[in-house]
Amino acid sequence: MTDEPDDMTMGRPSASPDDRQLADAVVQGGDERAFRSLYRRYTPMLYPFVLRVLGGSVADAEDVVQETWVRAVKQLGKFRWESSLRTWLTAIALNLSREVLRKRGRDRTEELTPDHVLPARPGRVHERLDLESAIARLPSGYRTVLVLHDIEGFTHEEISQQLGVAVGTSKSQLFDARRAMRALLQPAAETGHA
Amino acid sequence: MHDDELTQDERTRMRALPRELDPDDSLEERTVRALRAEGLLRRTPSKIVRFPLSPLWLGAAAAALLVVFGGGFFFGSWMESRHTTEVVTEMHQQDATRAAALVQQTGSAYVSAMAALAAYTESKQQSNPQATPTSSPDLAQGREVAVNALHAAANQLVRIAPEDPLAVRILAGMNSAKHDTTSGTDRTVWF
Repeated sequence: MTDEPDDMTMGRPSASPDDRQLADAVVQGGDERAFRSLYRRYTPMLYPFVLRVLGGSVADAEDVVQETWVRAVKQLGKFRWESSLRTWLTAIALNLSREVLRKRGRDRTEELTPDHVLPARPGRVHERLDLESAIARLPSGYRTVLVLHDIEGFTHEEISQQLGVAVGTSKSQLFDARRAMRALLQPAAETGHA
Repeated sequence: MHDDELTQDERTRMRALPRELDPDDSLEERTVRALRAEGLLRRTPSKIVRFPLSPLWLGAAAAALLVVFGGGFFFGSWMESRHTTEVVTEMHQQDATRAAALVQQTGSAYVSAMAALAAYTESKQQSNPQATPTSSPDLAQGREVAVNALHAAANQLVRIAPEDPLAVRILAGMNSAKHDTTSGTDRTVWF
């Protein structure tokens, strides 16, 4: 699998009308204003995705988002616009996140500190914190599949292409991921009902 | 091994997780700097305002220039005329002050001269009780000069204050006294 994903991989909705114009301005003229527009449009979506895949490490997530944009701008001229820019950026970010996980040998259950937890929504604080914590504590392989499938909405076919694994492996990973997540959530739920 | 479905509650909780989150603002600047360093972005030039050189624009610009120039000219003229008025007013005030001071000085000199003349007349009468103020030509001339000067001063005083009863009465009295005078020729010598 290459660092830059094939834009044929994930069949998402097509790009916003002016994504291509902005991208052309960046590729052809190095237009900073156009880049900032793209950055502000897609980073709020990329950042929580990367943060979850990395288990809540803010510093790592910021590095990955920055590197995602650098690689994206380098490869933008070769992008064929057969999938959405969002899908393409997500794939780049996923590959970089997996590189970070591999380098740091994080294929283990991780502990979260409060700083690592994503901000809560009013009214569901404890529930949300429990779920985010449980996801962050999953082994990275499980976590990646669960985030891609249950939060980001990718299909097993798309995940298998992205991760370079068989569809069956993706399904099996998801099964294990959900079971592990439920196990992590169960004590808190029982405490809550007591 | 196959995946099992999420329960309704799990699905709801998953959907409640935020899909969008803004990172720290500094990340955008970091990323832009990294792209510039790679030569992938150019610094955005500051915006230069360019005006179209159409006849309408040129006409409007010329009209605006005229308005600005005319406004400046009239403002400058007004400021200058205002300054001139102030100078003239100040000069007139200075003239009036100097004239009043002159009246005071010459009035004092006139009264002193009259006092000297009166003292001389008295000494003459003591030495010769038969003598009258008109018997001596010098005394007669001095008296005539004094009366004429007083008359002329009374005339000017009436000009200054036509309604002043004292000035009017002095002038009227002097006029009637002058008509009654039988001495024929004026011997007043004005300097």
